[in-house]
Parts: sequence; structure tokens; C-alpha cells
Amino acid sequence: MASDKVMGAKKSHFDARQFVRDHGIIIGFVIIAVLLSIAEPNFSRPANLINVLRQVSCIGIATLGVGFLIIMNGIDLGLGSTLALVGIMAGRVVSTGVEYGGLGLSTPLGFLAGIATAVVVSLFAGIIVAKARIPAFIVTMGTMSIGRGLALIFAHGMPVAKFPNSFNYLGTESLGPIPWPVIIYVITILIAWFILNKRPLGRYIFAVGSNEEAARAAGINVDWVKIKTYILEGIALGIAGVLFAGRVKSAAPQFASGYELDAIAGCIIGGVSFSGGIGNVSDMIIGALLLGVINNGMDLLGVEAFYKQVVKGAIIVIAVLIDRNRTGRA
Amino acid sequence: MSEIIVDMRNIDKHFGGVHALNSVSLSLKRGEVHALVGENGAGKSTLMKILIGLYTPDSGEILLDGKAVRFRSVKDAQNAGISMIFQEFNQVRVLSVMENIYLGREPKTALGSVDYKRMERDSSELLKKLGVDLDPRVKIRDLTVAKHQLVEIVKAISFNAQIIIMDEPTSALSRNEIEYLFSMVRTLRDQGKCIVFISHKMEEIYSVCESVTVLRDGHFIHSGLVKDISEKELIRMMVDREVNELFPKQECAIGDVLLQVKGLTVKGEFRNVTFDLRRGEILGIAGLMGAGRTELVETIMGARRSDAGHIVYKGKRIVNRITEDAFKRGIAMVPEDRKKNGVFLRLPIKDNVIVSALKKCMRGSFIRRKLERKCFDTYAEKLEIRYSSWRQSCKNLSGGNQQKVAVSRVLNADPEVIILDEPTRGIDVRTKAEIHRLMSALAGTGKAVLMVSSELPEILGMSDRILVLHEGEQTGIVDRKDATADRIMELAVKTSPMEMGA
Repeated sequence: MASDKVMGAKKSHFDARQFVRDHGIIIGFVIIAVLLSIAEPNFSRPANLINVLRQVSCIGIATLGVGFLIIMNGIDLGLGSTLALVGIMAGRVVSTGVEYGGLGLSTPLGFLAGIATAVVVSLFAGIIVAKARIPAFIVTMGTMSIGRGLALIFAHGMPVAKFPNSFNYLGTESLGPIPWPVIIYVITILIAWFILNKRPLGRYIFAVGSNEEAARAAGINVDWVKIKTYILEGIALGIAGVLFAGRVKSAAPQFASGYELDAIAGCIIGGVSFSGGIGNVSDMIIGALLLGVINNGMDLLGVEAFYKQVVKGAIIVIAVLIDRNRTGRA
Repeated sequence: MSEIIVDMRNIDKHFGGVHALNSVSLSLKRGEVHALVGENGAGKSTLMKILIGLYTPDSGEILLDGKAVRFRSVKDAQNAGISMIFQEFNQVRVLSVMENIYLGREPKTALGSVDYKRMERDSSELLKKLGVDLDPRVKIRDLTVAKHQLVEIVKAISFNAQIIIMDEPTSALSRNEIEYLFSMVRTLRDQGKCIVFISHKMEEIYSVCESVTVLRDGHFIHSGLVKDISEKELIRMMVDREVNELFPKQECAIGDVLLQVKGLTVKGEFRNVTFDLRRGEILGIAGLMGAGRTELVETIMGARRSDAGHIVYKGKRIVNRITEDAFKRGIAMVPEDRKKNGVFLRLPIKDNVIVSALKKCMRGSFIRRKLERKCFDTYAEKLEIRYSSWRQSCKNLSGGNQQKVAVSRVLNADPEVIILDEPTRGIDVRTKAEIHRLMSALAGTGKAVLMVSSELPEILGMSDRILVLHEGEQTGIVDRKDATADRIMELAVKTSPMEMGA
């Protein structure tokens, strides 16, 4: 169409509405943090803030993984059940409890088993999404159920515990004042940022998410990009899963249910477009942090769990409305 | 029959910092076909979108039958008898023709359910009145693009539209279909309706329009009768300079054979296509809609699997399983439909340009900003892409500039065989000339160019040789010196002239 001068005009003067639209999430984050610290002085205490970070780390890493998928116009609804399955598999490898069917193997092997489990599950989803061209939403709805079922099978429906201290170390200990999960989160953030912004795969993820057909026509091996991205997500879920199991020193097949919603919501709230092609690592971080802060704040204020669900849901809807406004119809 | 129906006076419109329309005026009369011309970005679509109530003007007034009106929505304008047929049709593909015509205002029975009988009767009547031979119960998805267009027109008429705006209605039509459309436009004109015809094609303007209004960079330039102005003058007014040679294929040395296609067949699309492509050569592929031209080049690229035949490239037999293989070998294509698969609308223009050859922007294992800048600047300059920031998303560019971005992306991959599918569809005269010059220059540097085009002047002007397809069959390869419009059309329609939209 001929009218091209519609958008993309350079603004010479400061445009408050544009600023709010572009940085709404950060403004929202600051407002909520300030309000919380006024309403509940305990919120801004360093110990609490570090606690928030610790809580955010595991889900934050998973958010990075699913964030890549969303930019690629994919999704993983099986994220939560994969996390649970990772805990069970890693847990059974390292657990010393015979009653849990523990193998009592070394911690590195446990980590490896956990990460490998997540990679296999994601790879499975990725191959079907890429090769059979079935929408990711449907495929991962299947893996959600499969993963949960496998977790129940391998755990015989029971929790797994009695992990060696070395396995729990990363989840529970700190390096100086900074908890290990936070350090690992920061490292995965850096890696994710590099992959998304500095490696060809990152550009291809954006390209596929923006227009899959154009990506195919542009000489991009779209199927392979999809599979690789699912593998990356698997690695992220593996790391998050073993950290999570270590933090709670146990694993249960029911763990992490609903985490897929938190991770996906984190991305969307942060500004990753649900229609693909738009978003960055910073969006995934800020979204995860915002959800973490709100969770923590509501805990401190003694908000009932039922209400927490409603508030979280409302925030997701608002974030999507803002996203649609920004990208002009999702 | 020269009564003024619409008078748009001193329309002004800004989009952010861009002055899209600068005090533009337009008068439309009953019973005329009025051409609205100008380069991409001249403000034609903006002006029309103001007329149909999609945009509100910053200032200026619109008089309809002498009364000032202000439309707040497309529905307002529709009720007042103004309809626009967009380039992309808003049709529900799974519904039938009649359901699309009456979408949202279905006739109801006494019980409140949809009265299909009446719908069918009314639709048939409408179709008959316009002389359209179409079953109202056929689903839209089973129709050709040309018929989609007819359905849109019928829908506009069903609103009792007095003014029908057509935005580049012929860009997806074959020659016969265009003729049919024109006869329909004339019928409407004779019924006293006013048709605004947005087009880039001079021959169309001269064959169907009475009046013409020229816009350039948001300014009103000229308005008058088509017969009072020469084609050359018109083009000069549009681009503000003489475009002497629209199709400047320069003579250059034809080199070795680079690509050989032997007996290539895809069942149901085309069969037994055989040709050689040499360095320095532009081979045009002509044919009507549905002749299998796009399918042929897509198969060469590896986007489709062939059922028989093979491809020899640089003396070696190759198989492109996916387009990535073709790109790696130095065969690259600019697809036919920009929005569908030519550009990444949501991505920054720089990523659009570099994404097919990211290796060039890497040192070590990482993509470097400086190298990205270099790649981008090279083509932004070479193709004179008009942009405000390299991070600007591609959807904010005009069609012509988007096409340049798509071409840049392909050139950045340093291909030796460049395939261009409808390289100048829907872009303005200036950009068209630039792309033609570029093609000629590429051939001059020893590249081989394969060009699919539905525009005969382009095919005739640019090609060294012309391969003609008719319903998937290769009916001939014509040398430049023997090529005439008649000869090509003869091969393209072969013996049996194609039925409209078949």
C-alpha cells in the first residue's frame, strides 16, 4: 500500500505517551516496588530482597527458555511438568534413600541426568513442532501431560528425598551474600543474551518468529532453528529443575504445576510479543522480577493465596493489552 | 453526467513528524473513472483512507453532494455510498461468495435465523446486474484472486456505493482478467458511479480512466483529463524528473552457462521445463496467472520438491533440498509476495538486510555491530533505501522501500544466480526504474538473472531471452530480437485463449 509515512516518524521532542508505552513495564515495576516498601517496610530489607531474587532465579531461568520459544512464535506448556520430571529423575539418581529407589550416584551425574531429561522432552516437542508442523501449543499440551505422567511413573506417585548435601548446595547456599541460584541465573542471562543478540541462531529465532515463510524463503533452515531453540529451552529447564529440587531438598511429581503460566506470563509482562518476532532477554528478566516482587509483596502483606491468583491473572491480561497496543494488534 | 459528487478541499494530514498530505484537493464526478497516481508514499492511500473515514484529516473539508460531511468510521462512509476495495481483501475464505457479500448484515427469517434463500436470490441478482458469471454458493477459497476482486466489487455495489475506490486492482490479475475488470469498471461508470482508480500502470490509466489527479510527496500536483496529457508528462509529474528509459537493460557480454534446468517437473504445476541460464544474461519467465512460473522458480530454490528432471549448476548436478542449500550455492531469490515471504515486517530493516548472510557480519563466533553497519550501509546506499533509523521496523517503510530491502537481503548473500519473482509489482515508477537499472548492472557484473514478471513491457524490455509457460507447459523460448508482445502472448495463451480467471 502506498501510505508509508504512517509510522516510524522520528520524534524530535519528548513524547510522554511514547515513553510510557516503551518503558511502561519498568515504570510499573518501580511504582509497585515503592508502594510495597511503603506498605510493608520489611519488603525493602536486604534479606528480603535477596530472598526475592533467590525465589525468582529458578523460574527466571525457565522464563528465559520459554522466552526464546515465544520470540520464535513457539510455546512450551509442558514447562512445569518438565521441571517436576527433572527433579524426579535427578533426584532418583542422587538420592541415598532406598525407599525412593535412589541410585545414590554422584551429584554431577544427577545434574547431568536432570538436564538430559529436560533436553530429551524439549527435543521431542521440538522435532514434532518442526518436522510435523503441528502447532507448538498442541504439541506441548501433549508433552505437559506426558511429562507429568512420567514424573508420576518414575516416582511411583511419591515424593523423592534424601539428597546428598552436595546436590542441595547450589540451591541452598550462597557465595558471600549472593545465593548460588542468583549467580547461576545471572550466568544464564549472559549466555542467553549472547545467543539471542550475537549469534546467528538468535537472529534466526527472531526471523522465524516474525515470518516463518519469509525465513524459509530467505535461506534459513527453519526446522533446524526450531529444534535448536527447543534444545536450548530444555537446557534452561534442566538447570532450573535441578536448582529447584536442590532448594527444596526433595522432588515430587506434583511440583512446579502452573509454572508454565508464570514463565509465559513473565515474558509477556516484560514485553515479549506473544505473536513472535519481538522481545529481548531484558524483557524476560523484568517480567520474572515483577512477578516475583508481586508474589513476595502479597506474601508479606498476608494476602490470601486465592486472591494472589486473581491478581496475577489480572496483571497478565493487562500486560497483553499493553503489548497489543504497542505492536498494533497482536 | 459531469456533476461533482465529492469535493475534498485542502486536506491536511500529519503522522507524527511526517506531513503526509499538504493541503490536497480532489474533485470526483459522477460517471467518471478517476485515476489517482503518484509514487509510493505520495499520499494516495492516505487521501483515500480519509475519504472512507479510516483516518480523520487534521484540517480541510469533504463535501458530498455539496454538503460538508465528516465520517467517523468506514461504516459511516459506506452508508453514504463510498466503498474502498483494498489490495488485501478482507474476506472469509471458508465462507461462500454470498455469505461474504452479506457478512454482518445477513437477511433474517421470521425466526431470526439466516435467510439463505433470500441471500442467494439477492446475490444472484447483484451478480447478474454486473454481468458476473459466478455461483454465489461457491466458497471464496475455491476462487482465483481475480474473482476475489469481483466479489469485493459486488459487495461494494450491494452497499449501493456511488463511489468505489480501487487500490491497484490489477496487480494480481492476468491480462484477460484485467480486460474483464475494465469492462466491469466501464459498466459501473455508465451506471453513473464514480470509480477512483489507484494504479502505477500507465497503459491502464490510458485505457480506462477519463480524469487523473497526480500527487507527489503529499502535495497536489495536477488534475485534468487523461487525454490532455501525455504519458511522459504524467510520469514527469509523478517523479519530478524525466524517466526516459524505464527498462534499461544494457548490452553486456553473455558468458558461460551457469545454471541448466533439464526436464524439471512438479506434478500438477509444470512439466518438462528445460533451459540454460548464462552469466550476464537476464532470462524472463512469462506466462499468465497459474502458468506455474512461481512454482518453477520455487522448485529451483528448493522450496518445492521436483518429481522429475534435474538442475546442473556450474557444471555439477545439484539438489536443493531447502532454500538454505540454494543460498549456500549462490542461488538466491526475491519472492513474489513481499508481505507473505519477502520481508520480515516486524524486524528492524537492518536485520532484514543481513539475515540471509549473517556470516559476513561475524568475526570469531559473534555478530559484530560494525560489520552489520557495513553490510547494511552498503545496500541502503546502493539501493537508496529511504529510512529514518536502521532499527526501524520494516513495516513502516513504503512498498517500494520494502521491496528494496528484500532485494538488498538477497544481494547481501552474494548470489551468482538471482531470481526475481515479480520484482516491481506494486511499486512506484522511480523505484521500478531503479530496480531495472540494478538488474542490468548485476547482469553486467557477470551474474545471471532469472525474472518472473506479469508485465509484458518489463519482460520485453529487460530480458535477453524469454521463456514462456502456458498452464505448466513450456511453450517456447524467445530471443530478445524476436520478442514482441504479440508473440509472447500467443505463446502464453497458446491455442485456446484462457477463460477468465480459470
